Amino acid sequence: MLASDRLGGPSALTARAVAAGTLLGRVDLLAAGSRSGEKAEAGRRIQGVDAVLLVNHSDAFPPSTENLAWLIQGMAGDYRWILAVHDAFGADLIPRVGGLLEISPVTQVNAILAPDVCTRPVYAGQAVARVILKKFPALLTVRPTAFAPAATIHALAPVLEVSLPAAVVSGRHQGYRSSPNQRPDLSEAAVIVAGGQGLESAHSFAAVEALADQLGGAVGATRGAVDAGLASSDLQIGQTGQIVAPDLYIGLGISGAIQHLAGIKDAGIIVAINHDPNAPLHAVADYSLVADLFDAAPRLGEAILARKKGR
Amino acid sequence: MKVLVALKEVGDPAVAVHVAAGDESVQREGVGGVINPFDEIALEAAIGLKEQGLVAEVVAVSVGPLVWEGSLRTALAMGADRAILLRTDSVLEPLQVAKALAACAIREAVGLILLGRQGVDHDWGVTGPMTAGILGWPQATCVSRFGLVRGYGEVVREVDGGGQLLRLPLPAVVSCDLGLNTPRYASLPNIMKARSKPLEIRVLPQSADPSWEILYYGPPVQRSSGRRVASVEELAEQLDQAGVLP
Ligand SMILES: Cc1cc2nc3c(=O)[nH]c(=O)nc-3n(C[C@H](O)[C@H](O)[C@H](O)COP(=O)(O)OP(=O)(O)OC[C@H]3O[C@@H](n4cnc5c(N)ncnc54)[C@H](O)[C@@H]3O)c2cc1C
Ligand SMILES: Nc1ncnc2c1ncn2[C@@H]1O[C@H](COP(=O)(O)O)[C@@H](O)[C@H]1O
Repeated sequence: MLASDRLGGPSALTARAVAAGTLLGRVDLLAAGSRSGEKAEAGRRIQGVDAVLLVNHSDAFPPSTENLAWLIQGMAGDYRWILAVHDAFGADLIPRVGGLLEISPVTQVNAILAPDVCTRPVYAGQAVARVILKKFPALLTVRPTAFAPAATIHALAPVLEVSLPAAVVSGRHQGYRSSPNQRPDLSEAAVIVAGGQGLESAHSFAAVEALADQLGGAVGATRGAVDAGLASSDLQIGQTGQIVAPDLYIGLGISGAIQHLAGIKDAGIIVAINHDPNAPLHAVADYSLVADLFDAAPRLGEAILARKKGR
Repeated sequence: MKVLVALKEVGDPAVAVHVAAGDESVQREGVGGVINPFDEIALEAAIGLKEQGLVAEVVAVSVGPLVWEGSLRTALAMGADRAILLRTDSVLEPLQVAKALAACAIREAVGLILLGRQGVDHDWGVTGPMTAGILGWPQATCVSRFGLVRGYGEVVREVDGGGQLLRLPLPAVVSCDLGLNTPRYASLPNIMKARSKPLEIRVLPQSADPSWEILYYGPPVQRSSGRRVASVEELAEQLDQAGVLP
């Protein structure tokens, strides 16, 4: 299991992939990439982790995808499955390992049925494929939303330092551009308020942000909203954005294209607010309200706050 | 410098796919249709580099059945200089495609391979980094900005929570994301001109030894359809009762 990475630091998603890994066998966690020490510290507290393998990077072995793939291919003989979260880090690294080992990975695994059988969505979630693994080590990336996180425990797994091969030709990391976001992360939020091109007439995402803040939730967007310049692309939910699984998803001014639905199908409750009664999002929503979002969203915020006070 | 752009055909993403339990025809669904949207972006990026005078030749390559010739003609009409179809009638797993692309890149002595970040049919998202691994070239996936500066690729990758800035020594493999550009349409005169551009067809040798097999396709788990609420107040009440309010 490769420890997950978020902007060069530890990510809470690791515990979800560990849960997937324990369905297959004993789990060693590879803490690699930048701030690998922090990843190791967090990882050794995750239930189901047998040992943490720590990669201590240096100038001689910088934390690049190319170096890590090279390292993992050297360790691969000891393992029957090599797993990572399907995030920007794992989805970049695992297929490169696949190129080195000449094994095609199985990406976006959303269920493990047996040690050699898993499922994954295809066609933007319109179908599910059941895959039988033939070559080992099998290379898998798992959808974090499909696996509940393994618990954090008091016992500490041992940390073993990995001996490193010589570095290979790599891209040079020049820094991150993180979007200033005070709100919860889409991948972990319990509540998400997402906006679509219906916000375009207001030239702003203010109505979405206001409701998200009233609910303590995250802000998400459709590709339509991103293309219209209303939201940054890292807020995009869907087939080619983030897959989310909040308890509550509220979609404002979103039509509900297949590619967007692909990202929200695992949500607990889906709410649609759209003035077009024929918008496809209404058809998959648990609660659908045919209304103008600029009128309904602020009133919904108030009604929810009033209920909270009344409790 | 030459650039290789990898193009695949997929079923039109605007058309819904309906799958019954055990519907193996899904496998063929992606064969024939339109150029994968991300691959058009990759092609646009390559043509843009040529227009800036940074690239000498843009070669489009597909690994697929004869009917994909039509998409390669479209690529030529958009501005690719040459096209290669590595012909096969089998449905390939990504390793076979990556091996074929890697061999083609060596044969053509290209300095850069541009691909899509994922095929929107099977959503594997692996062919770019697998090709890079086979070649031992540096890689950047999900790229939303790309420039060639003094012989390096300067890229921004889309990552969770922001962007990663990378400098890539060439030759390299780059997979393209939606924000990179807006692909052009092929104009009618260019469609006519594309007819006389070179399109080479070579037969890809068969290979076996699969990494996995797809046993079965089925419909996704259906969500039970919900209910209309008449007012904001009713919605707030329902959400409160469902226990999802903070
Ligand atoms: C390869 C590919 C990948 C894609 N990946 C993604 C993806 O990952 N995520 C994604 O979201 N999209 C993706 N898309 C785009 C997707 O197909 C849709 O185009 C997009 O989701 C539409 O966004 P939208 O719902 O905001 O806009 P629209 O479809 O334009 O819908 C806007 C809605 O707002 C409603 N509305 C307008 N004004 C109001 C108002 N005042 N009050 C209430 N309602 C109002 C309208 O009735 C309409 O239904 C992808 C497309 C392709 C081809
Ligand atoms: N058969 C193919 N022929 C040419 N290019 C391909 C083929 N399959 C995949 N690709 C390229 O690899 C990218 C990623 O595809 P995938 O790994 O299948 O999601 C696509 O966007 C294409 O650029």
